[in-house]
Amino acid sequence: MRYEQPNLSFINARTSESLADIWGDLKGGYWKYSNFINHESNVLKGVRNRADYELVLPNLIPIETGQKWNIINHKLEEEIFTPELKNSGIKDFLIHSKNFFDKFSNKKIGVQLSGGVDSSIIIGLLRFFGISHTLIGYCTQRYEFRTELFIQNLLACNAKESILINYEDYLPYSGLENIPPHQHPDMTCCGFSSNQAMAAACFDASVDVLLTGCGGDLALGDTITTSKCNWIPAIFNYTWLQDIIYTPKGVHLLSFFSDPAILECIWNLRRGQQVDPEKLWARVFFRDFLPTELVDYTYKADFWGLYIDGLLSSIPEIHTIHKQAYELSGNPYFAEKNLNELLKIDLLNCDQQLYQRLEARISAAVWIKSLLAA
Amino acid sequence: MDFTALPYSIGNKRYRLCPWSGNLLIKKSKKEEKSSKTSEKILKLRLLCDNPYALKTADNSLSYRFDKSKYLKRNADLLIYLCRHNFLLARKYAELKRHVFPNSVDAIRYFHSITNQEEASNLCLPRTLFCAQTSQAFKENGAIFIGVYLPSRSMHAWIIENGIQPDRRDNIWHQYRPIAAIG
Repeated sequence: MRYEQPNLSFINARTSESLADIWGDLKGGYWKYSNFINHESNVLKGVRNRADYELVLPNLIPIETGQKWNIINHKLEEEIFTPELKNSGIKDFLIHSKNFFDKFSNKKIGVQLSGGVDSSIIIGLLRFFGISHTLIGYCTQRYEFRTELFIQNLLACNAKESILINYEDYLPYSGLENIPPHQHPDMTCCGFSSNQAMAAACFDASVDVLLTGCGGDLALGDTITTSKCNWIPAIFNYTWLQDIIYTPKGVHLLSFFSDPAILECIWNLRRGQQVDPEKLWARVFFRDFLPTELVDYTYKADFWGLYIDGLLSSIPEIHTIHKQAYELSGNPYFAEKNLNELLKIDLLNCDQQLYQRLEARISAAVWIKSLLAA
Repeated sequence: MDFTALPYSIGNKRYRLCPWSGNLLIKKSKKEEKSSKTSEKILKLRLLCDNPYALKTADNSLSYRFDKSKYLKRNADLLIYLCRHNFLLARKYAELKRHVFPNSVDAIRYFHSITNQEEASNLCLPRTLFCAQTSQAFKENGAIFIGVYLPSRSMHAWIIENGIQPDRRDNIWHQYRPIAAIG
């Protein structure tokens, strides 16, 4: 089954022609000219630098929501967040939050319950306004997640409806075989199975909008200078996940922090602050909306253990998909020795670049396999 | 200071710390391993590691005025050297008590003030042994925990004393599962 990807369009770099989709080109075999080395380097650059990505498909520039093509200088541009300088206080923040929630007044709201400070702020605000909501989160009994689990249980206990999905059943890199065809390789596909489970839970609970705390690390933890802001709110929302997983289930996955008015308010409240990775400011500012534990302590679980266990248990599946991609495409990039070269490095060494390179390779193989097997 | 093994098993893997070398030992075995006798104090402090929200928050007020005593600095340097070369010797050296600080909060602050902060993450073991050696409260109410971040082999050492984790700069300790305690 092929899904529409309304959050992704393309520009023909030679003609500047805008293309709503490239399914026709892909069907005609254009995928053969893919440059996966560029895809790997894009993954290493990180999503914040996506405007500088190298082309994977020659002359086809992917345009995601929040990006636009500058026809004059032939450059891809990001819609950078440009806040207006003003005085803000908790009252302003509450007004903007209420306006944001009111947009979904006739919809059922869900919140991704992570047990961290960002999603707990959203839950606290919804409770403050007396807005009905459902909590849906991944939980795990892993030792490093005991603080998150504590908060999840605490918030779930007081919620009208809460659903906890066992993360161990949907580890990262699992279920790659089931990823449907899509138009461009995207490393977000590595979290396919967990998001599919989340979308299914939303569907079962009739949740229309699932609010996330994505972008909270930046909004509540980044340095804020008065001169310039380089935040890209569009990247707080994962368009690939939205189009491929959530839209088919009728769910809108939306970051609370991607709302321009809320973001502007936070920016003005934090203006002049230095980097704050533990979000100490937010813990104090939102103390009336948060469980005491999140105000007094700054614990944050590391997801690396989950990722590496997911990777280790999916290695046979990764080999299979890689092999299928090689057989179907004949592209030497997918030669087995290239994958083995990466996998022979000590995977238990927490080297972020190694995982990113693996994710790039996996997402490329998944893309080819999903296209050609379909 | 007693060494208490807190072996951990998952699947058919057993994780434990070698009391002599300080190395992480991973054994494939289906047999249950006996834990060494654990004192009341370690049991109580271990419970706090397992329930980080039950810890008290560290008091930031300074109860010790740092002096520039050369011997304290030499002491810390020697512990750093020993930890790099011989875990057992480092442990034994830390048993030579020099109660200069009332508690580990002050001892850790002092240690941070005399060591290169870029290396702080690699100095967790000498830092905790320094506290064990120089904090007055440690013997009665403190223990060093050495933990592993599974499934990696990454290890870390931290202190729980007087119901608090005294190192404000240490924001990773809770990721590590204790596999040994010293104290």
